[in-house]
Amino acid sequence: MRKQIDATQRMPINMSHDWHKLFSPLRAESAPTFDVRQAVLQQIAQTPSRYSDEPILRWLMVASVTAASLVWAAVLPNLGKPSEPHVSYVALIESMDVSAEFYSAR
Amino acid sequence: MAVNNDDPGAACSDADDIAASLAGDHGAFARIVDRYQADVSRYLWRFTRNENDCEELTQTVFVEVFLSLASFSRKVVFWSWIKVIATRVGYRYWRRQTKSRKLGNVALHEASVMVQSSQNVVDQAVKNDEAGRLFAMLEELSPRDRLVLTLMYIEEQSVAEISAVTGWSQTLVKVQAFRARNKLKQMVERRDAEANRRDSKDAD
Repeated sequence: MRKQIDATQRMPINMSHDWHKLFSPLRAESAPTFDVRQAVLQQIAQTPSRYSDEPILRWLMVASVTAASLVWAAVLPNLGKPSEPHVSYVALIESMDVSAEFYSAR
Repeated sequence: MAVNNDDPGAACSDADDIAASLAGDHGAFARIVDRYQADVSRYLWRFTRNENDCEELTQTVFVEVFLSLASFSRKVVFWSWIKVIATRVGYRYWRRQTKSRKLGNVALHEASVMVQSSQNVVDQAVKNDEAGRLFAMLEELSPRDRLVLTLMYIEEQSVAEISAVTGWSQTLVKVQAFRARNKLKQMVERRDAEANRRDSKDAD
């Protein structure tokens, strides 16, 4: 890890200029814009319960992840899989990427 | 960027609309959508070149903004906060794509992209041929490598900004960028070598 950080710091200045130049066509291109106002308002109108139940959902998710990681910590070593509890926890979070990342945004 | 964050008027109307949205005024949230939708869709164009997907991601960002609005801290610039959510939405989209590629759904996805493509998109692709090739190259990288290069060189964000948007430490951003640059460099060199080999075969 240490070596890689040092290598990053040693990158010659002109190299970083080259990378910026390489990506200039993507920076220069025009992007489409969309009018999503109606669609967003419709979606919001359909999800009032999710909004009001949000703290409960968050607690439920945290509780279920904790419970699952405890179960995994107890069960996996017995199955002969060399897994640590935190590895199982991370794997579970990874598999739940939608909600986990959404909730970690707060 | 259409929104000037230094403009006190804009900041004030953001604060008013956020407060009104939290009080249940959907009209106020509609004004927020109007104000930022162009910036959000432009930002998400870095994550996908499929117009339908980009529009859908833009919608998702605003729904998540609405659902998370209560946790917005006034200490942060609103647009920066929206960008954090947009980055997460875009990153999740890439991860889903990577997973579906691994599951062998590429053909299905590509077919749907082809069906969705309008003549405008084709025209745009021809015009931005070089940009298209670069985008295709980035698609071959892992979502993390792609994210750091996109933010650093296309969005031109500083290491500190990338760290704030992704939640990674600044050291991790630098290391990730270093690795991603190396992978891209190797990819380009491999392609060049293959092209040279093909050229020499043709010459024979």
